[in-house]
Amino acid sequence: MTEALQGLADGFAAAISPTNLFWAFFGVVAGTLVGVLPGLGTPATIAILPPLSVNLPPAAGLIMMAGIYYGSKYGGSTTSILLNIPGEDASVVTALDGYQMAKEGRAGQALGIAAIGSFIAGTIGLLGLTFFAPVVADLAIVFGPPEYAGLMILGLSLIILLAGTSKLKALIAGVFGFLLSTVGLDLFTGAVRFTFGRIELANGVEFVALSIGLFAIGEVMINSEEQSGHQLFRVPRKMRELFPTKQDMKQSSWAIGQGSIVGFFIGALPGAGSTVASFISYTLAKRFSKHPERFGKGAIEGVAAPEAANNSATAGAFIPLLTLGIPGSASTAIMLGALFLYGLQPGPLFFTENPDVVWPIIASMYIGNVLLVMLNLPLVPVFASILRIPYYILSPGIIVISIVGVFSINSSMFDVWLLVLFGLLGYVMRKTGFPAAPLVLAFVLGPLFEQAVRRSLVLSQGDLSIFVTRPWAVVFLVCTALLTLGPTVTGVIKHKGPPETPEPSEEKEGEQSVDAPESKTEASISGKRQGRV
Amino acid sequence: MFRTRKIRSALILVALSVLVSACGFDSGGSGGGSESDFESTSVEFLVHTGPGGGSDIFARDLIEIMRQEEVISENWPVRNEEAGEGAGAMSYLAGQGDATDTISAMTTTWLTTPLTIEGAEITIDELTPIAGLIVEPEVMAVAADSPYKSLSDFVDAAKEAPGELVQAGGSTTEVGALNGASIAAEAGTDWQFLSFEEVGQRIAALLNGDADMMFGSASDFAAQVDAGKLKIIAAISPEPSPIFPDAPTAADEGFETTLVPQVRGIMGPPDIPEEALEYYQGVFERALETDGWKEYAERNGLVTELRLGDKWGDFLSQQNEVVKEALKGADL
Repeated sequence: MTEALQGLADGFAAAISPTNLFWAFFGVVAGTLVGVLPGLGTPATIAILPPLSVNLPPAAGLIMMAGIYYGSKYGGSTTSILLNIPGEDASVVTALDGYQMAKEGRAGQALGIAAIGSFIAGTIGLLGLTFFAPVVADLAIVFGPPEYAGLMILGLSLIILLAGTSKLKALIAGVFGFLLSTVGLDLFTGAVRFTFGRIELANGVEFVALSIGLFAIGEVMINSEEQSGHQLFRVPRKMRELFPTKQDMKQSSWAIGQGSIVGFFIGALPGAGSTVASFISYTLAKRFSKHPERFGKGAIEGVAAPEAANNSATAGAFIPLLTLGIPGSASTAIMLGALFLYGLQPGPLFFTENPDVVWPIIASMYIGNVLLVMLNLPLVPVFASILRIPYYILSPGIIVISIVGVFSINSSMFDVWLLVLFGLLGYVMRKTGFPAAPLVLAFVLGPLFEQAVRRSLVLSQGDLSIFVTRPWAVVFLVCTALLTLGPTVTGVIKHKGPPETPEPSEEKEGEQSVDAPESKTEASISGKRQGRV
Repeated sequence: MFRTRKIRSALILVALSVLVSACGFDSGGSGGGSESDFESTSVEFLVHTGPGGGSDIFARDLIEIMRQEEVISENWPVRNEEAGEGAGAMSYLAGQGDATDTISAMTTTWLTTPLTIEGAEITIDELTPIAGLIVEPEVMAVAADSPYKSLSDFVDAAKEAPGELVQAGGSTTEVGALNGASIAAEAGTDWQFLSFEEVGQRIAALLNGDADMMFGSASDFAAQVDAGKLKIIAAISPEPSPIFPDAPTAADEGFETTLVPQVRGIMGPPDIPEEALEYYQGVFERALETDGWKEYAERNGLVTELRLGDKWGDFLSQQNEVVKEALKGADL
């Protein structure tokens, strides 16, 4: 502990040198841009930087790369909230409630809570990285296939919590997402599944095309049906109305705290990642909310939780990288490659042998977090004012950004056609009341689940008892049981309590919808829409 | 007035966003590039993995070394064609015809993919071999407290309990998997193969005892070996690993099976003009003689084996036969 404090103090002394400060600043600004622009992926951006960073001292180079990495998680929320375009994989969940908030004229609050939540969670994650890295690293190693399987079962069972008007429709959407996730090369056998001979599908369906299609394009199509010249959303003029209120902060505090911890641990697991963290944190926030019915309709906790989780996940992701030399994601793999290029070798001895590199990097992340929140909060009104643009100008813009973003990932027209296809699907799902969130969640968790189960069965040679004989796997299965069977129990309790709304809570619960067309808050639009459906 | 200004600034913001993401575009075309000035044109360097993958990191390191050593003056942008374990990159390269400004890094994966992946139609002999650069001797790692002190120890244990021991690795057609299957076949036994997409997870499986051993590149294990968590007990290649010279090779242990080597080299489009071919061969020949390269190779345990043009092509055809045999043995 004292060792860590000493190291951190030395790290700060190094990190505030003008060079290091400059590169931290450069990194977080570039990261914010990467996050805002869909399609410009974090790994791809970090990968082109070693030529620049090699001319810098190792600490400065890594400070810049790390800045891009966690900066992109900050930026990713912006387009999710404003335009329903997930700017970054881990921001898909943020769109669920963030965009609904924007529709209600609360874009400023959503952007504000995303920045504040990201800052708090990022800092909590960094405290974890500073003081508990070795402990968490040991835990990450213990996590084998059966433990991952347990975690994924927990995640997948939460699909039911993302249900809209109908649990059945949520399940159908989830199963469809799972099916989509099986497309592509099977790692275990080398077989190619459901690609119809298209080599473009060999690596599976492009996630960005799927998420942007379902969310952004589907939404534009629905809105274009209704909208003429005027702007779609109300945007408050007063500065004060553009920032989260005390009430908002209070409401989000638990979500931020929970997201910070969940994100940190999931981020530290090699192979899980911040997208998984944000999903699990969101569903937990909903599960334990007193008003789960508000989720999917602009609940501020629904923005705070995933944003907190994906930021503390980045701090967590540095643990296996720095303490074990094991990268858990493409971005950290590139940073490992950069360290190699400097002649450094992250691993169990890295902290003791290269404190002059490790601690300035960690210290710079604290500073970077402060820079990010200072950078992002003043931009909130600027970004929010984008929504003042009349929709007939905004919607083609959204389509252009989406197409350019999706194309730029693999320079593939095929992906653009996928985008179109998923846009149509998103439209039909909105029309028919199928929620998009379960589909996306299953798509993200499906392959992790499948692989973890198959690996477990390789280890046990087909014996299913492996899932109940390893402690952590059991912990997750018990949690799954509690969380899924729980609603019936708590539902009864809630029923007895004083009803918060005129309607009985259960009925109200039946109405909650994630991305379903019948958003009550949009009275005028949904009124028309309901008439038509 | 205030309002229009706001709108304008917002519009500019959107426009800027579009512009910046447009910069992320790779111009997909097969630019001809005038043949006389290869040195001043920027070369598109194709790799078959995503950013952060093995080939991607190798390609970027190589370009960086060549730039620092002034073998090339321009930065060569890397293009990631990730689809289908090399199949996408190979068909992209095949589609370049006689272009002079696109070349690609290749690995042994380019030999296995056309044989194993459905829809992978391009084979290595449809492309132009430019240069073979390195052979990366794979080593066998076990946990530090493992009962196995040598490859033979492990194989003997596998004979006692066929199908129970576990080897960690990547896809079932990667070099480590093929060599594991060949060694098992020679010994008349078999063991499980546990596939992980990421190297980090494979090492974690070794550290937590889920897997009993792993074949991989020496640099992947070095940090753990230094920390006393893993030990290297064999070199799964004809020659010992430069990083772990004391680990006996499979042949030293009495195994006769022909091992598939992990090779890295450079391929060009099918009809790349002769001058361009010679230019690139000159570049890589010079690159491999620089101090920067030698230091890099030593640190990463790479064995430099420069093969140019036909020599490289012959080597590939010969390796192709080895891979075919190994795949047959592995029942794939």
